Amino acid sequence: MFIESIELNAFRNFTQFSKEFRDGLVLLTGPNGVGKTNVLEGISFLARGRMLQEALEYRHVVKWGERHSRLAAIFTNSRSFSTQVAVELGLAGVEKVLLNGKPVGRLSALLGKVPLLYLGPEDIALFSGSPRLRRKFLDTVLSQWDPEYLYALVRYQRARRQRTLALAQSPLTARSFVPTLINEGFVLTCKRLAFVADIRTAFDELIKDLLMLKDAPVLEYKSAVQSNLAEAGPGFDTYAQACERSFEQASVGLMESGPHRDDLRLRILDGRSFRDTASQGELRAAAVALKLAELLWVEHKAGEKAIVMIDEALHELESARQFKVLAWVARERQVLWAGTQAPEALQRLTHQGQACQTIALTHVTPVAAS
Amino acid sequence: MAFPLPFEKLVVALGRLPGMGPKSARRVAFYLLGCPVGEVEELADLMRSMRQELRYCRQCFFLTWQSDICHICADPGRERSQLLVVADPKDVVTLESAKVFKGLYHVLGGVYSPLQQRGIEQLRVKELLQRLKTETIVELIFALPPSVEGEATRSLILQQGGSTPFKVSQLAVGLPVGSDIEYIDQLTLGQAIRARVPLL
Ligand SMILES: [Zn+2]
Repeated sequence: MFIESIELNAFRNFTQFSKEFRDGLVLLTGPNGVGKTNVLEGISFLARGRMLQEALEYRHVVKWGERHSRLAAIFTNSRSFSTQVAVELGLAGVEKVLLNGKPVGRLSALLGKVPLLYLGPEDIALFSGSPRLRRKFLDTVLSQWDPEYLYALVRYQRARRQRTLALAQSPLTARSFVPTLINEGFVLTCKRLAFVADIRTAFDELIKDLLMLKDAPVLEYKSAVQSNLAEAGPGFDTYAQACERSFEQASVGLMESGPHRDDLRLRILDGRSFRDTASQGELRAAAVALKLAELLWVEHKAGEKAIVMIDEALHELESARQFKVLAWVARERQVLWAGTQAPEALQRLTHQGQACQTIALTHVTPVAAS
Repeated sequence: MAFPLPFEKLVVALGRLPGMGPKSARRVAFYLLGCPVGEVEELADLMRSMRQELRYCRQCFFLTWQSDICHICADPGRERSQLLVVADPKDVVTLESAKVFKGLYHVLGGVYSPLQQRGIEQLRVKELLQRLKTETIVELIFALPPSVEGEATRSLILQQGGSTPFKVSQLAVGLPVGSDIEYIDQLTLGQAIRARVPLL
């Protein structure tokens, strides 16, 4: 899959931006603040119906002083089949979503259509940062490709908010949200466990290769409810009982367990956490390995190579690793690299004969209306 | 420039109605300004008498007129052992249009939702629990919205109801009648598979 063209109107800092892309390596360059990330925002929004910055409000998406944005892109798959995606948004939200010119109603119609991997500054801290990042990682990829996961997640979060409020009033009535929390929490836990089991082999190979290790740390899903969850699928009854217990404790002020407190962990052979023994550089490389394992998983789901967007993510990796990652990713994929200049790794690839399209963004000086 | 105060006040009041934005509120206000006075008076009368004459049924809390008991509860032909719980009076109208259910209803008047400041005491849960004790119910059927709040309301009723000597069920979820599997979204399909019914 690759993005063939994009058009952004009154979107973020752009009045009008349109560009055609080639398959393969694309360098998106220009000074800071010129809108490189905004181009990636537009692609993300059209490819998967979500912004990179999730908290972004629509009134900040629409260009300052305008009332509507219009975004459109053409995605072409490996069988040369093209899909045109267009979205129109106003200050209050999405107004129109069109697939090949036909209205499809909601943004969720874009889910699971275009395989895309975004590698941003936050991703590099996946293993060194807080558990919230790792849960967000799981939620983002699974909601994109599994409608049942998204449904369970939305309901789980809603039930949590309702229960927190209810607890302040009456612990007895707050209990009424527990069945939903247990049911949806179980769905989320099972699907996360299955995902981790799915990507483990690929992650294992990738991290060994990147860190040149003989024994790779093992990727594990750590449930706050039950420490010893069977990956083949935990039994519902034991899960529910453990949940119930934690909810009873929660009514006396303790935190209850559930997927909102679970974590992804890297365990080394002697049982210790990789985080306690690894250097910052190794942790960054492990984070990249996890993202690349996600890439392979997404491609397997989509039956199609993904578009890869790299935004200020790899420059903290040492240059040999940077080159390894880029060379690996750029094989048979469209890679959009956003940066103020061409990185050394990219220059090395082009010296080896790989074609690269350079798109230089410049600050546009406003032209007075004639 | 603003319109005279009585006009603006009406626009604000109309704008609070469901489905009415400021633009349509203004359009309605202009219409009322232009039509014969008799028509406006009739409309105002209808609104007032609707509010004054309609009541909630003493038994099921559906709407009733000129009597304490609604026409469904008063109907001797209804099956008194089946009780169907809904959130809103409009759900009764919808279910009645299917002409399938022959039992009685209980209208809760909403679902439990702390986020929308709707507490359990604002719903007719106590009245329902009382009915379960005094009436000879064989089956209690839930037809609440399939939302988080609908589910919470159901479990609240079952928790507070204690042991239930009757059958408890809820409306089935799944495929719309007459639809082709090919056109059903993955989520609905998954629900329908899980809620499948045995044939043999
Ligand atoms: Zn009645």
